[in-house]
Amino acid sequence: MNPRSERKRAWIVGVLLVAVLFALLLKSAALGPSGLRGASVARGLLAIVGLAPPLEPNHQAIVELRAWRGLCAAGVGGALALSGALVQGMFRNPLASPSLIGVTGGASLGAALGFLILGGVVPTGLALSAVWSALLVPTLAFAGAAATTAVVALVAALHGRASVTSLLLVGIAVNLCVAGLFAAIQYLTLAEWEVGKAILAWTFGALDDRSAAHAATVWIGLVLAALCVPLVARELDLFRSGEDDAQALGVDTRRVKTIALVASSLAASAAVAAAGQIGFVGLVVPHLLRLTCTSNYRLLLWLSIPAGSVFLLGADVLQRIVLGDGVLQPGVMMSLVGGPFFLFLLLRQRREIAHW
Amino acid sequence: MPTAPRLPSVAGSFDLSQLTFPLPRGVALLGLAALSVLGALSLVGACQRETPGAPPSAAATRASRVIPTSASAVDFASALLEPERIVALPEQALEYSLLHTLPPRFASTARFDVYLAEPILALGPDLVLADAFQAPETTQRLRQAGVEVFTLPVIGSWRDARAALVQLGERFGRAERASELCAELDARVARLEQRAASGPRLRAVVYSSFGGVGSTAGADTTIDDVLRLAGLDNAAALAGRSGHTDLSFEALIALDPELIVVSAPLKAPPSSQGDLGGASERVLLAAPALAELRAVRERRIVALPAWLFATNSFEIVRAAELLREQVELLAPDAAATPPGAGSRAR
Amino acid sequence: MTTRLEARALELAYPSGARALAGVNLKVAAGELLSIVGPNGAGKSTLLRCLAGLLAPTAGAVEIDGAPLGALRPLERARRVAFVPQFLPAVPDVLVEDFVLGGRYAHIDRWRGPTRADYEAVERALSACGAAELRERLLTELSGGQRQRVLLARAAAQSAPVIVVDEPTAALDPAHQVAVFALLASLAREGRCVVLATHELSLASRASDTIALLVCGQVRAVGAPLEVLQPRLLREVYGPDLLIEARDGGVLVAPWARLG
Repeated sequence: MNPRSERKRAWIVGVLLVAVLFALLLKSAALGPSGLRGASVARGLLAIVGLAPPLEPNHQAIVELRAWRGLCAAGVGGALALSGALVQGMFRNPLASPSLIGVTGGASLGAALGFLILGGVVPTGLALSAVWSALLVPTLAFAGAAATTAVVALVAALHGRASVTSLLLVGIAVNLCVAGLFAAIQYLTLAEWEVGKAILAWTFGALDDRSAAHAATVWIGLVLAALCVPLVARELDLFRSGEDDAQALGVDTRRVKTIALVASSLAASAAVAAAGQIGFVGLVVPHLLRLTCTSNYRLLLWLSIPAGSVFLLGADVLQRIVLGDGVLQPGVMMSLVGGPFFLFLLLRQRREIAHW
Repeated sequence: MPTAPRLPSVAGSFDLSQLTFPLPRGVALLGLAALSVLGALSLVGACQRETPGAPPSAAATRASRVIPTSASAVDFASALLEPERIVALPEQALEYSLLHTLPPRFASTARFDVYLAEPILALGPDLVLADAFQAPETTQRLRQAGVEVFTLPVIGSWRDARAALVQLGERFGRAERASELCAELDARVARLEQRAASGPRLRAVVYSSFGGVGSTAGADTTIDDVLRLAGLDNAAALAGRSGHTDLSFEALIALDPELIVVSAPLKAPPSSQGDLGGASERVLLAAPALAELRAVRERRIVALPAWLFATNSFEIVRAAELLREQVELLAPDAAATPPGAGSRAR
Repeated sequence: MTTRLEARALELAYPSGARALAGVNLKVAAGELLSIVGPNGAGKSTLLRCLAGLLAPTAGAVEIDGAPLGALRPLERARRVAFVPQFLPAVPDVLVEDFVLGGRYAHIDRWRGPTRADYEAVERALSACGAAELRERLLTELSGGQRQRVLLARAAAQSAPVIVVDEPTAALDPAHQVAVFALLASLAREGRCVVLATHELSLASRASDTIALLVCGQVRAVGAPLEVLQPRLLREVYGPDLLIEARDGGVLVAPWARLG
């Protein structure tokens, strides 16, 4: 494939994805259990950006809920896909995902702690205002994710330079530790059934009841991570022939690994803080892009953002059309569809390899 | 283009090959593992068939040493039995039961932590009163050890609880006490119905959330019976929901209840609102989307203590009484707003 | 001629205390081709990685044009010295021209991307290494000889005054071995300083200006090919099973033994 035609194709795919994303955002705003449709939704949306007078308060609130839901789904999908692409580039492994560096496990642990505090199981002695109690779980989830990634990176770097392999192994080990703590919390809260239920429900992800704060969290994380892309894209392409080889070409591998790790952790942490645990997007979206479009990280990293958005928001819209509202949470849907879909990809790939 | 989409070579870019082993051997190992698990299971099954002694007949035990093992079992046992016949109480379930304040007559009663055969057998019971949902393995171990395990019927309403009282009264030889309790319940329910008839029937929604996705209780739940006894309409049940289901803010706005019922957690952290409602109430008050919801704007949020919110014994009636009292405190306002005057999304 | 690359008293010790390099001193001038030979495990690859600035010596220093390599940032180092590994740890499925453009990494501005100068350097390197016709092929589809040419082209595109090459003819057939040595000699003739490690003593004797014989991490002998590749010395280092013959200004050295 000619690199120039590859770039052209990437541009076309990117523009198409963004167009589809806007269509999906509009469609998403027209779906909901209250039956608010059409023109009122459109007026409500215009009112959000100040181009129309607001609807009567409860209707306006409903339109805003739907807008935040759509923006959250799009942001979370994009952030997870970008995070996945960065991690895959760094580990040079298309099967890597953000959970490998501890993001998912750490976020679960942080969120669980938040629910324990909210449920009064862990006494803090602090008076929680209503606003703070709404922000407690996202904040702790973000802190847990970022802290776990930092632990992975620091432990891997204990003995001189942190090679990608030691990062991978330490990531697996730290994940096991965190999963153990999480399991202990879950078991010990079996008696506090409301708290236990909240912790469990969080691991299925949630796009219902999002606020502007949730949407802002994920989009800020995504934008900050995206700003790091130019600093690592060319380098990750050189990583494809090995870390040592990239180093010989003049790549500051330590810097690239640090930036890629921070950026992917930031994006994925913001995503889990905003919508709980949603797997599979970070693994499969970059994979799909490689199959259909490009494996060049300079294009792949950028494309993964709109592709991830379309993927998650599209799946959310589709399941709400097919199954109705409040039937499945996005994390459950992703795990239900994810496994078989990935299996299909692998089988297809094997057949094509056989043709070569 | 000779080669269609380029594929990321999974094997080439990472030495996965080192992790794989020849397939036939893998399949054989898997088969072996499955076989050994099956074998172990059938062994266990065989041993259990050989164990002699069916559970002793009901009439054989006097039920002089009774252990209740769940919150509702504690309710029934403590209401029906003389305190000295109850030899131990379940530590974890206690706070969800009638005995959450631990009256002096039970202060010195032994405690045990979890529903496991060993700690329970160590207390030497002749009858264990359990809920149907409790670990079947433990129930079976207890029965094998010669202890009668009396399983409570499933209770979905105060009528179920009343029937269970009669049934247990007979089993424990306390039929008189049971009919006394039933008469008292009937009188309290009658009073409730009278009070409910005097005011407007408010449309209420049960809401519970810790900041994740909230949930509500529809038809076929004990709390639904509590609402009905307290003279409230369960808006979620009227909208066709049954059981405990997720309830998004949008769905809550669409239901537009006149009253929201939340649970006050057992160990609520101090709240700056100074309320009883704990986490769920704070979620309702903090959500910008709900600011204009009538029940939130007018602070028509009432809280039931967690042990009554989750009760599945005759304490359903007490929950309804407590709820009714709070509704009547709000009632002057409730009467002023004709039902359905608020905005509905539909 | 002025010295381009100089290694002074290089020491490299593993954490276990075993020494891979002990007191290595080398000087290479611009336009000079230096072959480092020696038995397996003598420390050739380690020495090359030190010379390319990819491995920090425990003691001693490597300098290019008087600048100590250890003090340079990765980008500055890559503008001065190119390294060609024996094989790639992973072979990415990229086009040959994209791969060779990777050699320009140290010259490409992050925000402006590759310029015309970069594409021209790639073109020159591809034709200099006889790989111009491979431009639009995938790296994964190439044969061993083609891949070696592309690796050398990438190093040439890097436009560094020093090229360090690790065993470029391993796994190549005789014709390709000759071609690669010819290529390395031509790169040196353009004014670069080329350092390679090899077991191909015969070709090295004809292509090199200087040969260094490395044994157990120490330079046993260094000088013109005919001076270093003495039968007695070679038999001492490699054992007796060798056919050695001086011919046409070079030395023919081949493994030769009665088998079975």
